[in-house]
Parts: sequence; structure tokens; C-alpha cells
Amino acid sequence: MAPPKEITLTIDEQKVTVPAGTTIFDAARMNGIPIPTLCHQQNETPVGVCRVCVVDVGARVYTAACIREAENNMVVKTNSDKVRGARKTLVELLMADHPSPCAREQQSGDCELETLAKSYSVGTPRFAKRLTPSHQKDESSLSIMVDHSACILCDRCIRGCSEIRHNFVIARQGKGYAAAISFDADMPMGSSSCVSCGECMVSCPTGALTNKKVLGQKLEQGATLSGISVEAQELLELPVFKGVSGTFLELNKGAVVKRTYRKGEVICHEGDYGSTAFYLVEGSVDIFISTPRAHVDTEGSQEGFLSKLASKLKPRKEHQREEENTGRKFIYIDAPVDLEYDHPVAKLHAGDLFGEMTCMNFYPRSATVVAAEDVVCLEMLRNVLDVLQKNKTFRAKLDANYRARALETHLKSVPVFASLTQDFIDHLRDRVELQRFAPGQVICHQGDPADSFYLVRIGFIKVSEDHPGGELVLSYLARGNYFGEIGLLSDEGRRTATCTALDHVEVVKIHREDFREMVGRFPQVRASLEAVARDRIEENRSRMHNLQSMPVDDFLKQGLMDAQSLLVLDLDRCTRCDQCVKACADAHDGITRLIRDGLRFENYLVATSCRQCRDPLCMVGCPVGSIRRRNSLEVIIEDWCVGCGLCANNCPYGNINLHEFPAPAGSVGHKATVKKATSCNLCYDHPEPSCVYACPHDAAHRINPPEFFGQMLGGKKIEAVPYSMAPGMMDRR
Amino acid sequence: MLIDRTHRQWLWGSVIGLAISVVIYIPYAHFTIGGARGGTMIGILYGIVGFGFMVFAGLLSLRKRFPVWRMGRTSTWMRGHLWLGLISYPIIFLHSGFSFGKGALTWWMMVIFTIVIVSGIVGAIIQHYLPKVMTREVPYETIYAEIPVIRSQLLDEADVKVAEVTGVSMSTGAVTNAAEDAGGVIVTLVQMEEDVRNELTRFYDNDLRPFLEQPGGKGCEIANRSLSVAKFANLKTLLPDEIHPVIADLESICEEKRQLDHQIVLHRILHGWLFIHAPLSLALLLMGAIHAVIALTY
Amino acid sequence: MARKRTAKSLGQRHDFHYFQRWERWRLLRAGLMAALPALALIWLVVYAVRRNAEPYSSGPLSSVHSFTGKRCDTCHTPALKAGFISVGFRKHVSDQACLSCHQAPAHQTLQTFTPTCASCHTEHVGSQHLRQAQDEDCVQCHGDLKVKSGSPHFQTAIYNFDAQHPEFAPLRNNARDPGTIKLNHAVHMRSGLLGPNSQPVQMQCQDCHRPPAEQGEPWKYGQARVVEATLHSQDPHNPAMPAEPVRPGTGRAYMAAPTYLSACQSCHALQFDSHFDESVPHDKPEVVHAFIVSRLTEYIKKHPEAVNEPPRPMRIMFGGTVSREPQTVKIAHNADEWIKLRTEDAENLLWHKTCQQCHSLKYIQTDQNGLAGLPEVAQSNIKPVWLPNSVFSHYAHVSIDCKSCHTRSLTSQETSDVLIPSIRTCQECHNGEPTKMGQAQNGCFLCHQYHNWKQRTEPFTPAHTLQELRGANPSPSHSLLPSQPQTSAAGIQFLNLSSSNHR
Repeated sequence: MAPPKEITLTIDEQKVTVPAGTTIFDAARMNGIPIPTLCHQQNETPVGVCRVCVVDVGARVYTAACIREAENNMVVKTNSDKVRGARKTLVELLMADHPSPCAREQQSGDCELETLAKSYSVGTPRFAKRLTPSHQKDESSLSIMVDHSACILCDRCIRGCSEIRHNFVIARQGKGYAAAISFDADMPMGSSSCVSCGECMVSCPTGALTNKKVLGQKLEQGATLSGISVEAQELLELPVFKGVSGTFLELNKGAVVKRTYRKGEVICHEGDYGSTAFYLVEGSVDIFISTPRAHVDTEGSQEGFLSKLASKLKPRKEHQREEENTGRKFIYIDAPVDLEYDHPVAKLHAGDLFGEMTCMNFYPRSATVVAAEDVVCLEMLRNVLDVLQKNKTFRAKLDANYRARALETHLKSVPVFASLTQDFIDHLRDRVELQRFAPGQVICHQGDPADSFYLVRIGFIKVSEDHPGGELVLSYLARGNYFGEIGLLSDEGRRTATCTALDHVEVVKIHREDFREMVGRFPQVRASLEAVARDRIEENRSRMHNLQSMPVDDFLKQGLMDAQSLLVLDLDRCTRCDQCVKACADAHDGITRLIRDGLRFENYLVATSCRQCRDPLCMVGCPVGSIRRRNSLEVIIEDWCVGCGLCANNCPYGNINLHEFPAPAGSVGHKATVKKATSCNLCYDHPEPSCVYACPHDAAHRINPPEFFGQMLGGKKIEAVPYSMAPGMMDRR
Repeated sequence: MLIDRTHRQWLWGSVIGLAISVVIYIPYAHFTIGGARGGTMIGILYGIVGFGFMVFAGLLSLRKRFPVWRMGRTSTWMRGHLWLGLISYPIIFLHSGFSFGKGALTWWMMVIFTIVIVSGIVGAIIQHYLPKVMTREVPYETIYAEIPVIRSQLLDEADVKVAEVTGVSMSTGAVTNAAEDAGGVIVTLVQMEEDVRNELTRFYDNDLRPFLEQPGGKGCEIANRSLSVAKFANLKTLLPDEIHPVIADLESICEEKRQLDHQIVLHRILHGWLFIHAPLSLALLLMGAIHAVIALTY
Repeated sequence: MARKRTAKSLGQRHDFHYFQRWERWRLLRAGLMAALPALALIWLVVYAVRRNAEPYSSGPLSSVHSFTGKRCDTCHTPALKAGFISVGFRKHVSDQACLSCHQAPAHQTLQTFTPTCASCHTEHVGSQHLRQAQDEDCVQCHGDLKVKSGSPHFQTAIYNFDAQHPEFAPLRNNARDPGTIKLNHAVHMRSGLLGPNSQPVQMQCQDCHRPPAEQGEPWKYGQARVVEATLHSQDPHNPAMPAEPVRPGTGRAYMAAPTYLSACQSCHALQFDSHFDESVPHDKPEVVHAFIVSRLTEYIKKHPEAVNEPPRPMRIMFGGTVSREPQTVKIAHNADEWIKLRTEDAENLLWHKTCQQCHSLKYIQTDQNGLAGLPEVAQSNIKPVWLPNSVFSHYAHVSIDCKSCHTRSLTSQETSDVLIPSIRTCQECHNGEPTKMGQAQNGCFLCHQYHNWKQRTEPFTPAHTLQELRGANPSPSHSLLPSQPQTSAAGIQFLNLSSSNHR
């Protein structure tokens, strides 16, 4: 690999320095120089078909800035007369076949082509209009109108449907002048496999794909209140909707609803599933998890005299957090603020948007929101939110909000950055970049030059390494995590892993210079980062080592390789007496965390109980980050779990299950019970796992699979010995 | 449970304890006027020791009720139960002066005690050997208490499979569109002739479904593995190739049900002796306590 | 689509509360766990409600106590009382409980401790002789005998009958029979002995020594006019038989000593004068003298001519003194003289021969008249009981010939010979292996008694009524255990069902 470099080029007589590999378009954008585009959409792979973004790089031909990588010492002219002339002609050519004003222009007046034409003063095109369009108007779809005559073949819809939505319905068909987009094998849209998600329509710059007035977008009936559907006029008066197409809003009338809440009314409950986001217009709300006081304890409380006596015999340690050197801890939620663990209440004010993750990714609500005073808010569906998020004004406002309020808390909530000073944070405030990624998009590739440090704001990111044998997942990162420091701190300056967005992800990107300044000024931060980096590297190395030293076997088919701690029951000793299950239930408030059924390996039953996987799939998607590892092996579900059930779904072995627990006294809401997820936590608050302790026949063992089975797979069978004597036993006494 | 090397200490301890008791007994019996019997000081001492062992043995079930409490590992208590319980029998004989109980209460106590000890030994043997047998013979083993649930799940699974293939819902008998029934999953509906489909439904109605419905295999031919193999093989020859995978699945369901039946039998052996051992031992402890009090009274 | 068995599908098909469900197996087990102990409890409670403590019996009662039926509190009564309410818990059978019906005279005043009744008489071991104590019960003292004061009178280390029992006291230390009656067993036992009416007889032991069972029968060789011997002889000279050492009627009566009346009379007649067939009474010399005189007086009255009878020559008395002086023949001139002369003759015969044949006589000097005074007969000193501290029962040995144990009797010529068999004779059979053919028990109890029955008291008051024993409420007076032993209670002789004590 070529050594990572930063390159310097000149754009419009401005010297800019960017990491190698940046496109000219991005380089210009990063430095505030706009280049008009038609077929380029930032969340899609650039294809360079429209050529509107052409720039003069001093070569024989103009180059499309959206896909051309910047090179060192390049001299780029983006707005010279010649370039402008070229663009104008291009637009004119496109306008020739354009049924101006197209449907979009009529509806919302924001057809990008016609806007460009206006800005470049393209009048009536000199070129002849095509007589017959390639296809007739396709009105077969219920929600989307297809007007092929307005299509400029920019392929944004194709990329939207494939890259963003992974539906792969739209493609190009035909060639030359007869080329057009088609759905499936040139079927009418309504008969195709189109799922009417609207991504193509939203991506389309022109009126080729427009919204039909669709039935069913009715948010008026909410959970408790009926909302008032808002007139587009009224919406457009709101500053956030500035720039949003009025026609779009008109067509999506039911998708935005105004709701008013009196003080004390609940806007949404934690754990509920939903599909909408809320924008606060007036008033402020309290956002919290359950009650401010009690966290529901799924491990059993010592109430009652006898249980208090009994608890003397149970060697339980309560809520030990000393092993974590943190001052304050935060619960990350789907809102501009994070909640403190000890006092999980926060306030949101007018202009705040919450519920993004629920709206975009259909995650369950991560917190309960109650009106603190009389509140007016807008509840909106995904399509509206999507449009808003693409809307520059809205984005700017949200960004400004984040920078003003949340960034500081967010930074400080990451333990490593606890020692940052206020002025540095202020300095960072305007220099950080908020970047969004769609599901599946790669944020950085292994081997790429490291140019920035990332903080995860929302969403989940998969960190993986490429190996000859395949991809090895190293970990999953969620809100509050960060990545990219290894590359920046190391000498080579290359990414050591690939980071991919698993769902709609938003990251806070801190550029290399700022990062350097940060670690320079705050040696504590540097030390912490380096320590973490070292740990990560070491972990990865050991993982690789284990992978290499284990013979591949049927053993791997059950996924036992991924386990770090297995509960195995020696079936030659087990008398099926259920003592282990009863002990587990006893130690965990009546809910057992283990089931005596599952697949077998040799004469051992691999019980259905948390395996403390290396690659904990359960952690992906937790809206409140309650399922996590602290700094030891066991996977713990913290007591602020909201019971959404995602971890239970994700666990491939069925080791996590939801159960009802009595709601703590004084909790807000109408339910007498709350659902929480439960799973085996290796009895970390007992001297040893209760199931192992309670087995009358020494048949239950918590083992480390490679060590325990390694001998077996190497040919030497382990005799039935008490658990404490066999190698590989997880003896934590 | 495996009675293995780890029991060695207990074994030796018990043997030594018993030997000491016998060694004390010989001169005691020789020199006691009126003969060795429960009423003498040493006789009472033997009685206390023996009854103490019996009470400890009985407390095992109480220990198991509080599995998490730190009162000594249950496996230690288990070993204590086995060995101390075992030597309590000869010690009670030493207590009574080798009399098998001359009064009604003491006679019944000895009878019950003998039954308890014998059933305990039998039970220990069963629990030593049977788990291995179960592991080997029931690969599809599941939780015993859940077997009825699993059985009905198997029945549903078989119903669905057959319904998908024949288009006839096995539970309701209604002829429906299998594709709809299967919940939207696209299934290729095999075109079968009427009589071929009837082969399957007949086999299912007469043989397979009754077998899956009932616990045990009474009156069902396919309860026998080799017969079942033969029948399914025969069925495969009658039915087209496309649905052989479904037949194989049905056979697998049938095999699982057979194994669950077998598991029931083995489990009942594994735990059934406790129905004699446990209640009688509780009665014995009760009678023993009464005997101790009354005998000292008189 | 093949069936998939994944860990998730296997784990999640279960109900997570399966082990808390009450299903059939668990219910059945819980039911049995409750039912069987309850059954045992009910069984005992039923008995308790009926105030029947039979289940707690530690063994079957001996047959002699079975009259108590199911009334365990007959013997097992609480020791502590408050008035008539029992407050004590222990129902140990105290000595008082036994003493309320039985007498138990003390063994020895000097014994260092008194064992409890129960330590020797073990109940609840079934049909057996309650009286039969074990050897250990005796050996606990006599194995190493100590007394309260002084030194023990008896042997101090006796463990059993076989090897360590001392020789019988009369045979030890060359003891001699103190009897003064001259008896030569050998002479009597020889063949060719002449019996009454000069018939030859072969005497058997039992002809003189009557076994207790036959003591009421007429003597084999007895004459009709012989006064029949009775159990309690009226003859003042007969040695007084001591009181039975055991409860009467148990078959262990002493062998009565032969008396003149019961054995000797038929052969050894006490004829005194040729005029008469009859014998003098076997009595004191004064009585004999008076009898002779009265008979002679009577005779001469009836036969006055007898005065003129020629005088008899002097007899040479066997064993008597023979005078060398010429004897003057005395002639009677009148009746009185005749009586006197003949009396002299008769008494001469009697005192110097007949009586002296058996008795030891002491002669008083002749008085001035030349008449011999009446002799003094030494005390016979017949020892009726040779082993006063044991209770040998001849009746139990009635099938054995006397001579086979009393071996020296055939050859004994001296009265002073002690003819009871040596202990070794007894040990031949009584060597403690009763299960072997031909052997017999040899427990201490067979011969010895702990309780000194010579000190028993009379009369006997039965302590129970039939109604009370058969289930009515216990009589208050019986359930009271007095603080002192009852002096009125006596040994149980018969089960007295007389109505005199009926309540």
C-alpha cells in the first residue's frame, strides 16, 4: 500500500489539503466550495453519469468531480467560464427532453434540473424534444407516479433502491436513446416487487418519480390524543421546514400531525414500538427512563424479614461498580441528550427532535417522554423525517442544536475524554463534522489512511478484519463508543479494521488535526486512548491466535468457537433433577437463566444459557445500551432495560428471554408489570455460578471451550472430575 | 451421579467409623447385664448417632430447597447422604443389640428402614448407570416435564407438513389452499393424484397421528423402530420423489416421538424409586423421633 | 425443508416456569410424602387416643404379666406426682412399681448396693421365666464380693457354676454330719436284709427318704397301725422342717428328713416285754417308763397269776455293760414287785439295747435303789437341710436314681458321713450347655435365690380388680405409688378373685 498521504491541491485558487483518496467534489465541499450535481447524492456511490459536476483540472477533458479523486498539486477550476458553459450546455441538453414544468416542479417547485436550468439561465432549449418517450406514464403503483419522460437517467433511484434500501427492484434497461429505468424485468411498477418505500421517489431529482396522493398516511389517531393534521402552509411557516417542498408536504398531509399535550401527559413510553419522530415546536418535555428513583432489579431484592435473614446465607454482592473507574455514567438514548445513570431525567426544549432511531430504524422507544409544560409538537413519519434530514436548513438546525447542547455531554460521557477542558470543547464545537451513513455503508476500510477519529452518535457499527478465511467480526460499537484512534495513534497511520454502518448511523467526525491537538494538549486523554488501543489490539491478536490454534471441527458448527464460557452438563452424571435450574431461578428472583435443552457435544449437553460470545450479536441494536459488557467477561443486562426484545431476537442461541417483572412503586404508566430481558450473567455477584454450585452430582460446569474441549479434540478425553480440578474451568473462587 | 474416586474419602471415613463402632460394641455387649440393647447408655449413644445420620440424610431434600445458600455444597451433602445413610443401618443394629425390633413400633421401623436402605442402594445404582444409558439411547432428549408440550409441538409440526403437501388441513379436515395456510410462505403444491394423496393421508390418519397424539406407543405399529423404518420406506415407494423430503421429516418426527417415549420410561425408572424411598424415609424419621422420645420416657 | 435443530429452537420451545408447575409426577410425589408419614402418625395417634401404649412395647410381655393386657401404666407409671396428677414425664418402671404387687425381701443386709428389680428381672423379652436372672446379675457382686463392713463371709470370686463355684460347704473342710442317730447306710442297703415279718427286703433310698411328692403316701413297708407321716410331723422329736425358702407350691420343697415314724418303725420295733406285742411309744424316756408301768399294771391286774412266772435270765445286751458278778435272780412276790422287776427288765432292754441301737444315751448313775435312772437322749441333730442357701429340688431329679448322685450312701457306715453329692456330681450335667443333648442349665438362679424368702410377710392383698385390668379407668389408689414400700403386700400366691377385695 502506498503510504498514507495528505495531498494539497488548488481549487479555485484556494489551496486545500485533504487526505489522499478524497474526491474533488468532497475536497471542494469540505472547503466550502460548492459544485452543482445532479446524479450525485451524498449517501449513494457516485457514478458520474450526468456530468454536471464537471470541473477543469487542466486535462484535455473536464472531469466529473464526484468520482475523480483529487491528486497532489492538482489545479482545479470549478467555476470558470468554460466550465460554466459546459454545464449550461449539459443542462440544456437535458432540458430538451424534459417535460418542463415536470410534475415535481409543479407540486413542490424543487425539480433539481429545472432549478439548475434557472440558475444557469437556460431558456428554451435549442434541441428538439424527443417525440415519443421511451415508456408511457406508469401509474400502476399505488403511491408513486412514474413519468419516464422526465427521467434523466441519473440512476439515483437505482442506487437508492439497491444501495440504500437493498430492494434491488430498479435497474437500467435498454441502451442508447431507448435506455430507461425499469422495475424488475420491465414490469409495471405496481406489478413488480417494489415495496413502495419511496426511496426512489425521494432520490429522484426530477419529476420522474413523484408521490401520488396516497391513502393511509394518517397519524391523526395517536395513542392517547388525536392530532390535527397540519396544513402545508402552516408547516412551511416553521423555520425548520424552510426549503422543504410545499407540494411534498401537501401530498404527505397525513404524515405530519400536530399534537398538543398538557403538562404531565405522556407523549411516548419506553419500550413501545413506533415509527414516528417528534419535533418539539413549543414547550419542554421531561425525558427519562421509568422512574427517577428506582431501577427495576431483576436479580431479586431482599424484602421481608425472612428473606433478609436468608440473604445472609446468599453471598451476593449488590450492584458493584467499583471495578469501573468512572465518575458518572450515562444511558444513551434516542434523543439529543443522554441520561445520567444515577438520575436518568433530562429535559428537551423547543427545536429538539427525538425519536429518530425509532422512526428511521424502527427501534423501540428508548425512554419515556412526558410533557413538562404545555407542549406542541409535530409527530412525523419516516418519509417526512427523511426529507427533513436531507433538508439543509433542518440539518443545519439539528447540527447547531447538537453542537450547542449535546456535543459537550456526549464528549464528556465518553470516559476517555473526561478530562477535556471547556475551552477545548468550545474549540471543537464548530470543527467537528456530523456525518450520516446509511445501512451497509462502509465508514472506513481496512488499510485506508487514517484521517479522522469518530464518535458514534446514533446507530450501530460493525468493526471487522479481513482475513483469508473471511471476515472476522471484532466488535460492535454503539452510541458512546468511538473508533479510529488506533490508526491515528499508530506510526503507519492506516486503518486496522473496516468499520461498516449496520443501520442509519450518525458519527461525530473529529479531523486529524484536531485529534492531534487534543492528544497533544491532554496527555491524560492520550494515555487512556493508547491504553484502550493496546487492549483492543491485544484482544484482536488473541482472537486470531485462538482461531489459528483450534482445529476446525464439527465443534465449530454449533458456534461453540464463538463462546467464551459455556455451561455444559455432563450427561453421564446428570440425573435430570433440575437442581441447577432451580438454583438459577433462586438466585435470580424466580426466573431461570438456563434451560436444560439444547444441542449436544459428545456426552455434554450445551445448556441454553448465555455463552459470553466473542462476537456478541445480542448487543447490536439495544436502544438504551443496557446489554453490555463492563470490564469482565460476563454479558450483563443493566436494570434500565426497556424490554424491547431486540437482544432476545438477535441472540442466535435463544439465551436471552423477556419476562414480566412487577413495576416499581410509583412508576409512571398504566402497567403493573414491566418486561425486561434476562440472561445468564455468570452470577457475577456470587462467588461462583449458582448452577455449578448447586448441582448435587458435579455435573454442571462452566468451561472455556477451547481449553476444555481442546484436550478432547486433541485426543485426550477428560475424565469426569470435579469441576474445580479440570483445566479450563471457569473457577472464579 | 457417578460414584467415583471423589467418594473415596467418604468411603474410608464410613468404614473406619463403622469399625470403631463395632470395636466398641464387642466389649459393651459382653459386659452389659441384660445384654446389649437400646436402653443402655451406649445403646442410647448408638441410637443418637444412628438417628443423627438418618436425620442428616433426610435433610438433603431441605438443603436442595435452598440451593444458593452457602451451607456446604449440595454435592457434599449428597455424598454425606449416601455414606452416612448407609452406615446408619448397621449402627442402628448396634443400637438395638442386633434385634429386629420386638415391639410393634420398632418392628415396623426396622421393616421400613430396611426398605428405605434397600431402595436407596437400588436407587444409587440406578442413578449411577442409567444416565449413561439415557445419554446414549435418547439423543433427542428434552426436559421430562415438558415432554407433553413437545409432543403436541411435534404433532402440530407433522400436521402442518402434511397439510402443506396434501392441501388438506389435518386437524380440521378442511381442504384449503396450502399456500395460504402456510402463512404466505410460497410452497410448491405438489400435484398428486387422488389415490396417492390418500395413501399419505391414510397412513397419517391411521398410523402416524394416533401415535403422535398419545403418550407411549400402545397399539401403534410404528412405535417399533424397525417396523417404522419399513413402513416409511414403503411409503416412499408409493409417493413421488418430490415429497420424499417431507416423508423424511415425518420419519424424523416419528423417531423423535419414539425417543421421547423411551425417555419417559427411563426417566421414570431413574426417579421412580424415590416414590418409595422418600416418603418412607420421612415416615421413618417421624417414627424414629417418636420412638426416641417414648423410649426414653419408658 | 428439512427439520432444523438449532440451539435456539430447542431452547425456546420450553416454558420457563416448567419446574414450578405442579404436574402429575410432582403432585403424586408430594402426596405420597404427606400421606405415608401421616399414615404412620395416624396409626400412633389412634393408639394414643385409646390410651394404648402397645406399639411402644419393646418386646412381648412374659406370660405371667400378660394379665395386664394393654394397660401399660400398670407398671409404667410416672414417678413424679402432684397429688394424684402425674406431672413427671418419665415412665420408667421403678422398683416401687414392682413392689406394689410383689414382695422382694432383701438379700443381704451387708450388700454394698441393691440392684434394681429390672436389672435382673427383664420384662418385654417374651415368654420366659421372669424369675430367671442371668448369671451376670449375680456375678456383678459375687464376682468380686465386697461388703459394707467387715469381710465377706462367702467366697469372693464366683463367676459361674462350671469352674469357679466352690465345693458345697458341708463337703468342704471335711465337715461331718452332726447327727447323733446311729445309722449305717451300708447295712440297710445290703441285699439280704430282713424286713418286717422277717421277709427279705432290698431297701431303696426312697423307702426311707421320701421325695416331697410322696410324703403324704403310706410307707411302703409300713404297718397299718403305723401312724402316717405328715408333712408337718406332730412328733415333737422330729426335727422341725424349716419354712420353705421359696414360695410354696413351686415344687422345690425340701426332702423331708426320715423320721422314726415314717421310716424306721416298721423294722425297728420297740418291743419291751414278751407279754406284749406292741412297742413302746417312740418318745421321751419318762413317757416310755410311764407307758411300760401302765401296761404292766394293767396286765398284772388282768393276769394276777403272772406274778409267779419264773424269772428270765439276764440278757447280754448288745453293747451294754456285762456285769461279771454273779447275778441274783430276782423273784417277784407281789404285783408291785412284779411290775417293778419287769419294768426294770424292760428298761434294761430298751435303755441298753434297743434305744441305744440308734440313739446316744447318757446314763445317769444308779440311785440307792440300784435302779438305773432314766437316760438322757442326746439331741438327734438331724440336719434337715444341708444347703440352706440353695433350693435343690429332688422333684426335678426324680427320674434319676438316688444312688447315682449319692454315691457314698451305699458304702457309708458312719452317721458322720456327709452323704450329699459333691458339686462335681452336679457339674456333670449342669455345665451350662442346655442346647446340647444330655446337658442341663446351670444358671445361678437354678439353685440360689436372691430374695430371702424366709423373711416374707403375710397376708397378701391383691392389688388389681378385673374391671380395672380389662379397661375401666385405673383405680386411683393403684396408680399412686406410695413413698414407702407397702408393708401389707405379700407375695402373689394365687390370683385371688375373691369378692372381698372387689371395688
